[in-house]
Amino acid sequence: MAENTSQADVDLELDRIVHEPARLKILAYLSAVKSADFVFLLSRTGLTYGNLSSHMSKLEEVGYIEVEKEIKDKRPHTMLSLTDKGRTAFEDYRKHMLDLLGNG
Amino acid sequence: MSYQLDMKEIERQVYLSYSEDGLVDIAIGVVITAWGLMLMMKPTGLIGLIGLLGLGIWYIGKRTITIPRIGVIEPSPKMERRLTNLAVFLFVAGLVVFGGILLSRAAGNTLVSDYSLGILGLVLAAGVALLAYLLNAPRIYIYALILLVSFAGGEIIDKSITTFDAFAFSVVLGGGLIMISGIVVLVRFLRKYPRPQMEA
Repeated sequence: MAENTSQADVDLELDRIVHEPARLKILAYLSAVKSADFVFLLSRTGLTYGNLSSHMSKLEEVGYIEVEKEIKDKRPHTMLSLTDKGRTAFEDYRKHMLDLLGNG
Repeated sequence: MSYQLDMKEIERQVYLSYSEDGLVDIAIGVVITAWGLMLMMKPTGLIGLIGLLGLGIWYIGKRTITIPRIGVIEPSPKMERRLTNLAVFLFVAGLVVFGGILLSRAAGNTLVSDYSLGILGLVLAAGVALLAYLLNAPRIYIYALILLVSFAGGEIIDKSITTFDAFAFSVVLGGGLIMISGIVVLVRFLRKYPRPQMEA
């Protein structure tokens, strides 16, 4: 019984940073490109400006994404990309979910 | 829906950002229509500028319409490979076809000479179909079919009608259809993605 519980704990050991749906979406989109700007993620994830901003900060804080801010055509422009650590965390999470839920 | 299917959908959405605005459609339509009009009016010296016209429309549209609305991405190495393969294919196919037509004409092959524009249409259609495949955009397959029909059909009709340039008319019609479809896609895009008020 104790062994079963321990196995269940291991199975449910998900990366809470990645597990949050909005952040998972951001990471999924970034995993499909080399980098993307803030407006792209805004249009694709359906998040509000403030929400996306706050999730972006959280992901940057843990080192999963890299954020580059620049001034382009006299406007602030933000490019985001996955770091190696972020890519590994996302891939691990995907594998974990596939193991838990299967392929279909 | 499986977990894997969701990832496929995300990849599809990323590819969609290249074609969702209809600018590729409009650029193809304008180039084909302009080429047909020039064949009708015979200012052949301007033909070299047609490609630049399409490229200009696409580039200016991307910068002023698309990027402020849905942002910009740097393609992944996989996407870059696919887009490079398309460019190489189109370049090589163009060389092979033009070279082949010129050689066949020089060798006196009347079949190739008689249907050289139809053959050109076939290659254009193959290139556009490949573009549709690479961009995951099913409507672009229909453009490939329109191009094939307007070039091959136009050339066949042209041989039986002598009162006007049926081939040029058919090309203008095909290009016009593609252009109108592109404009419809662009209007839908503008409605779906209004310009965001705040940018970062």
